[in-house]
Amino acid sequence: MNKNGVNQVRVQVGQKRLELGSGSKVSDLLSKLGKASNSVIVIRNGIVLLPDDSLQEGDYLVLRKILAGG
Amino acid sequence: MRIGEQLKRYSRQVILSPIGEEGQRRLLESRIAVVGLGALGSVTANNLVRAGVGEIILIDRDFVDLVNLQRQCLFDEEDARNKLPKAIALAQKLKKVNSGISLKPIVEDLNSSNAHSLLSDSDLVLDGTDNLQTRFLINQICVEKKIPWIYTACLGSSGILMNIYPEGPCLQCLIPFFPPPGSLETCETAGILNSVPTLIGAIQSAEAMKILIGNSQVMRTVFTVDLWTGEFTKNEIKPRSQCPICQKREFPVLENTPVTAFTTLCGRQAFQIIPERPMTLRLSELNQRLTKVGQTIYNQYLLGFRIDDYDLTIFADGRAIIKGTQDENIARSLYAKYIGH
Repeated sequence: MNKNGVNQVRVQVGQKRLELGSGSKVSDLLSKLGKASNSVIVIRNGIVLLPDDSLQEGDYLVLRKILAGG
Repeated sequence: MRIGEQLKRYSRQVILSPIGEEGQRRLLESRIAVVGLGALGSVTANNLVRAGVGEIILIDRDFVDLVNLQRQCLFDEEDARNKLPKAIALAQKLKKVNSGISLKPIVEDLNSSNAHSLLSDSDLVLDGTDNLQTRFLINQICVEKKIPWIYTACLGSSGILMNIYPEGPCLQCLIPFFPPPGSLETCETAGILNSVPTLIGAIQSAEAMKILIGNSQVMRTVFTVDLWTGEFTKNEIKPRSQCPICQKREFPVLENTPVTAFTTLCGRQAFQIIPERPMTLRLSELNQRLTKVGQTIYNQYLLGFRIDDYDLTIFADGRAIIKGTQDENIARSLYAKYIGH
């Protein structure tokens, strides 16, 4: 539940604002964005998040593509 | 050559205080493997040859193609015309740069059947590969054998680098599971800005020197860059408690026997086929057969064969790179038809 008493968590991914259910994880966010699991790296405040990490109200997240070229 | 004479050659970096004579000695005594010698790997190998790393194993499965020259700085048009294997072309050039170190070119695909023997004696493994399958394998071998390695990759205008120590975090902390087929872009679909691998390769070689001399300022973050937007970031990462590799120390892939493998090659429409069992092809005999049905180019390392709109490059270990199709079945069919199982 966020500070307004709503069972949602609001996050921002780049310029995009999103609302997810309270307790949502990084993997839920990727599903909502239509991103394949393990196709991107999710970063919060300079820290790489894992798929099972929980999202927090007001998170500002940056997505980086997983790169494989050389 | 006596050590004093060797140190004189490297005086411009010996005078650099974090390296010094002791650091240079350690570099000269080090043995590293560079896996993948395209844009990234050739930049890294070039810097470390010049820096005086004593023994360098150069591993690459591919040959020089004209489309490589946009970014792969040490190759030239003659290499492409001759379809020279990248490991051979690079070793030939770099031996002229530094004859005082050992360079060992290996024209092979790094896979679970040869990775242990090729990497186990290294002090450090450097990634210049173009696919995640090989990187997952390097990760497992290096964590198992307690060898540090450096993950690097590029695509479009972006690059990434992560120094990986056996205690973690490792590559599978950053990328827990192998991404679904087709979910990652390739150099072919997204392109590649040539300055990105130059930059990432330069950072990789600097990090390699720090690791080899035991410097404490080794980067312990995930470095990313987008050279088009000018954005550079360093991001913290912790070991994933459930990581099967660096935390649980399970190494499932290494227990598998090698199977016929298909991988797409970054930067071109091509498949690679690896035979299920080790084999040795008589390329000269195969050349005689194939010249009757198509165009061939043959040297001591490989046989190039063109038929219809397809190009097959066949190596003595039975491996083939099949270019000109995006259909895996056509690639399998061409292999079966012209090389046989």
